[in-house]
Amino acid sequence: MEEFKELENLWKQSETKIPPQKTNISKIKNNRMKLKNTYTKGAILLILTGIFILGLMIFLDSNLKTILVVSSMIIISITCFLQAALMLFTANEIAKIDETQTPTSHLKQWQSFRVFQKKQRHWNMPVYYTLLSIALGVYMYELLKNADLWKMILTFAITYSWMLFAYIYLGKKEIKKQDAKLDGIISELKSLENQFQ
Amino acid sequence: MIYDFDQLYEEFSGRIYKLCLSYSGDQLFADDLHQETWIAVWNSLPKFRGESKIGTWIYRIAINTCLVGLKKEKNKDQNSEIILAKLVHEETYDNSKEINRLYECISKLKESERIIITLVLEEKPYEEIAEITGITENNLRVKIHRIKKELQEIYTNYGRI
Repeated sequence: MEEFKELENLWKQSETKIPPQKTNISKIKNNRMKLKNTYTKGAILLILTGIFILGLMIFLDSNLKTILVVSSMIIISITCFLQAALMLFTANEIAKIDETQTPTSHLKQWQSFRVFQKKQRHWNMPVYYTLLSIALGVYMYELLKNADLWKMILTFAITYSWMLFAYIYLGKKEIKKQDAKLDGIISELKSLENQFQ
Repeated sequence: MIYDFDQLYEEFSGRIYKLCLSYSGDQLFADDLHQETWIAVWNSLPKFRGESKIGTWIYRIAINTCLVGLKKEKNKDQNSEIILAKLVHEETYDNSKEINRLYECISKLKESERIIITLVLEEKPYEEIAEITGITENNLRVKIHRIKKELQEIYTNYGRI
């Protein structure tokens, strides 16, 4: 392969402009870390929400502190904390993906994360929204039971419409975006694995 | 053994950038991939246990980063060979036609072949290429022989069609 030597020599001569090293490299995030951070930030927000609701409950007017109101507020907080725990677990699963492995085992790690994510999504969102809807329903009913019926209906209508919108439109839209990203990653890795075989 | 990030960057960044460039066929994308590779190196360096050579380890990160780095939509519709040819003219210090021609010919190979041939051109031993890519050495020898032949043919026939 004498002719190939010529190409090797050419390659050695090629010098490219290397982008300068970023001084704040520790602060920049790559794709996997951005994905992980989405879950971590979501979890932190949920934890803060849960704490805020517990705070509200503590400082609630004593006339409103019925067993139903207190228990529904506790259920909402627990739902927030459980969802946050699940999101932190998912973030940890992403953090565990090791980029220093061979492409094949890197692919396997992404695939098993995808399987985990699909299984989790199957039950997680319906359970989360059901628990939240029931607890909120009880809470609002208790608070508004002495108010005019139309006010109660309006409050319920606005709250549940928003929840439906968040579940059906916003939730699915976000899932679609994340799926496209993950499927893109997996298909690139798969295509290379096929080429390597 | 503890490695200094700055030293590693100085030693490997040129080669890693060439890999990103020959893989992606897009200068902006190569810049992103190069940066993402070094972010991953920065984050994983404390976990490096010396089970492989540091170079092998960095190349693996670079390859995995190249593979998971999603191509920008606009680039999917464009012909990467044309982009690469254009950018290499702009990017290489040495404006030699032959070097540009070589980059252009590499960009006509399949993605996996671009990775393998870049490692071959970097004079990595077969054993190390096998370790980086996870292909068995025997399989790799066959592939390299075929890729070299293919690249040589593309290079020789360049401009004839």
